[in-house]
Amino acid sequence: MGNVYFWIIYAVVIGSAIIALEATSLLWAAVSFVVLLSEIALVYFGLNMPVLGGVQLAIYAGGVTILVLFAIMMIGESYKKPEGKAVKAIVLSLLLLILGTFFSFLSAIDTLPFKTFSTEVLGTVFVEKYSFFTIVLGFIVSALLYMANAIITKKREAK
Amino acid sequence: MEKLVWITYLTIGIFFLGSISAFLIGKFTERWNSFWVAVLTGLIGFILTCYIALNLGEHPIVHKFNWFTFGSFKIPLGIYVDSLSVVMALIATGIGFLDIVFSKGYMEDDESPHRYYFEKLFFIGSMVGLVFVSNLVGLYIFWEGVGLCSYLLIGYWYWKRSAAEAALKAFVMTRFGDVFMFAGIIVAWVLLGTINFQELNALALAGAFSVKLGLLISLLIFIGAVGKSAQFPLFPWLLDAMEGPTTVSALIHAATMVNAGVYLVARMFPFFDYSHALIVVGFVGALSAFIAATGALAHTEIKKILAFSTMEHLALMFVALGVGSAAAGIFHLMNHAIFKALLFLAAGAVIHMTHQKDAFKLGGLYKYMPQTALLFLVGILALAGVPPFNGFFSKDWIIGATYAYGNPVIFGLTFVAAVLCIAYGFRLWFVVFTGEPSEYSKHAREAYPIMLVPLYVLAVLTVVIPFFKEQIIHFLFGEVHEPFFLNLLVATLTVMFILFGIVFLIYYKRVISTVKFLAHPLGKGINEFLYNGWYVDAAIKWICRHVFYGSIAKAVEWVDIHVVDGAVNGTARLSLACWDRCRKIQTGDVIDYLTYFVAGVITLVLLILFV
Amino acid sequence: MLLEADVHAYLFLSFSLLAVGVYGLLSRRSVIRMLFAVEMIINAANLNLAIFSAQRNVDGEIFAFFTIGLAALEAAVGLAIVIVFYKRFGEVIPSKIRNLRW
Repeated sequence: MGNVYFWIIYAVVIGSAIIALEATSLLWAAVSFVVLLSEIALVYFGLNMPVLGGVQLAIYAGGVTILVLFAIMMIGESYKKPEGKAVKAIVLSLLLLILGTFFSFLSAIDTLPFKTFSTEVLGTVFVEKYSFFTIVLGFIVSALLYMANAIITKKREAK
Repeated sequence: MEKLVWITYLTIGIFFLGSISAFLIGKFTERWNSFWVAVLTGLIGFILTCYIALNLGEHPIVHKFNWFTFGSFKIPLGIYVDSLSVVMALIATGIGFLDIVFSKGYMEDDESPHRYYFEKLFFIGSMVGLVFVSNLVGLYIFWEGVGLCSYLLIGYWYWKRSAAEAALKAFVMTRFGDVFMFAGIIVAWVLLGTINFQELNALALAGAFSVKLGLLISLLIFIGAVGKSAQFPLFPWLLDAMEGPTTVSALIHAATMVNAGVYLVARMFPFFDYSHALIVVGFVGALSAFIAATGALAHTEIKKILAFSTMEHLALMFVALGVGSAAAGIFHLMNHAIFKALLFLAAGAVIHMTHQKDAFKLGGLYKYMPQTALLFLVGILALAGVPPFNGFFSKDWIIGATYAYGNPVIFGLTFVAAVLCIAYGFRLWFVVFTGEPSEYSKHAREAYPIMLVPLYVLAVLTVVIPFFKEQIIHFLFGEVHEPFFLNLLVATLTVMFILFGIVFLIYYKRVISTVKFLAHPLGKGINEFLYNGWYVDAAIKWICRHVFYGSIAKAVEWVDIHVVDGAVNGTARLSLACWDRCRKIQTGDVIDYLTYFVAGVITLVLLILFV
Repeated sequence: MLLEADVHAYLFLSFSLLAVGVYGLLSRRSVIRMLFAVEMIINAANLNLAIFSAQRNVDGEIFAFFTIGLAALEAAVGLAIVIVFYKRFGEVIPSKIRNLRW
């Protein structure tokens, strides 16, 4: 089992994922989606895969999110409460979750030693090497989000 | 001998060749050109047949070959021409030729003479083939060929509903008999190993098989002959067949095709004799003769009276064969062919000139068409068996032979039927040609010369044939003992004279009226009963409707609908139901598809891990 | 050790993400949210690759790069489709568009 930080990350990932699906505003859903992707990048960093984490941030949290934002821009923001056949979906997804967890405990995947790395070292490396990059990226993303919000608001007001 | 074989094949072939060329020439040039082709073909065929007849020596012409072979299974064919075949062929070609000539006048208004002559020549060719072939399979082929032509020619005016129905009736009824005949052929082939007439007869003469087997084969084949020769109970088609052109009735339904059954029995005479089947032939013949003679007495249409008469005379031939006197039967066949062709053609001339088939709507025609009337009279006299004409000799012989045979039932029925000829014959003649002219008669005129010439030829033949009786009988059968009873002859002639007197009084002098008799319920009933041929037609219909259709066909239909169709439709319904339920899955909603997909993935995972 | 967990915990994270993704994919009626859900599923798969890569060798990590590239492409194409979809039908609710029906 993981420590408390892991479970915090877990809670943030799942929580942001659920918010991304359930949020009434599509724009805030997109923001929540970005949070989710960034948290996964954090998990990659935690697994001692900084390059993968960087790529995750760059392509997912950067490129895909921008695309999503543009799509939302083109279509127009929707405030409708998303509806759907929730019961079937919940049952199936819970089934998947239980099955997957059950089999992960059933299988012999923990016979191999699992490499854990010190996140302190990782954090040092990250701050030393990638902090600037991350900060710049974060600003750009924030600016884009703000611009997108502004444009959408203007459009709605114009209508 | 080799030459005669080839001439025999040529005689059969020339008619089929002629039929096709008549059709093609009529189709692509002037339509009536087919007439000249037909006349030429008929004449050549007749001359070739005469040549065969003149050159036929003591020995028959025999030729055999295999039609086709499946391994060890061979179907033989061949020709066997003896005097009997030649006489039959002479009747077919000779009367066929005269009929073709007569048709020029009778069918003058016709639209498609090429079709008519095609079918006619095809018929004559089939008939010649039928009498020339040497075994049952070959006979069966040509037998169906003449049946086909009969069907086509009865339904020649196919736009008339009655004609089309009559054609179908004739086809179905004769085919009903043919099925049994086919069964007989198969039985003979399987159990006796041969289908050649001469071999079958030789086996019978040698007593090489049991009488019961022979009786089975004989009766099966005889049912075919009954159907073809319109005997009880398969005769109603012959009456309906009068819907066709009268020339067709004259050639096919009086002179040639209907004789095929008689020919078959005569051809297999020793076989029938050995099998004790002749007594059945005799009884059927006697009963049919009686039914037909009484029916002819009551009917009112010219052609149907003659059709009843044809049936009666065919029955007399069967009686002659049944009592063992094949010579009398065949001699009567020949005479009957001549005088019945004469009668039918003369009736055809009357119908063509008056456009009226009902005898009782005509009258006084003697004034307008005296030559036809006299020729018709000659035919009636020959039909009735009045001494100088040919009918007398053969019919008297048959009565004598029946008397000598000694069975009172057969003799009684035959005698009554035979003497009744004069009654219905003269009744017809008086009604049509004497008395007050009706409106139909008034604009009639004498038949064309081209129609009269064949009639004269036939009329002369009826008078001439008796002179050559001895030669003909000798040619056919060698030395034959003819039973002769003076008392019987006197009695026959006396009864005939009395009947003639009665008919003379009723229909010529009109002293005795039949109105009172017909007004009485009993008299009316008897008249209706005889008019409808003893309700045999209705009985057949009843049996077909209630036995075959009502029970068997209904049961088969039920099985067909509920079992066979049920299985097929059930499969369809099952797949339809499956589809109807399965298609509900296909909602078109992507999310639903995704749900199935995920459920499928889960199932697959479970399967892989647990199975 | 800030982040410390064993393989079961990581896999539980991955499966949870997958479950949420599947839930979203099956329950949302907006195409964009479905795309979000698809991305979540892909990320769950990526996480799996990374986890096993951490346990064994570098293969899974390399494969995860490809997956990320592919996912980016998929998102690009998917969003283009969303826009076309919107132009064509005036809405982005796939359940109402039943052209695939029998």
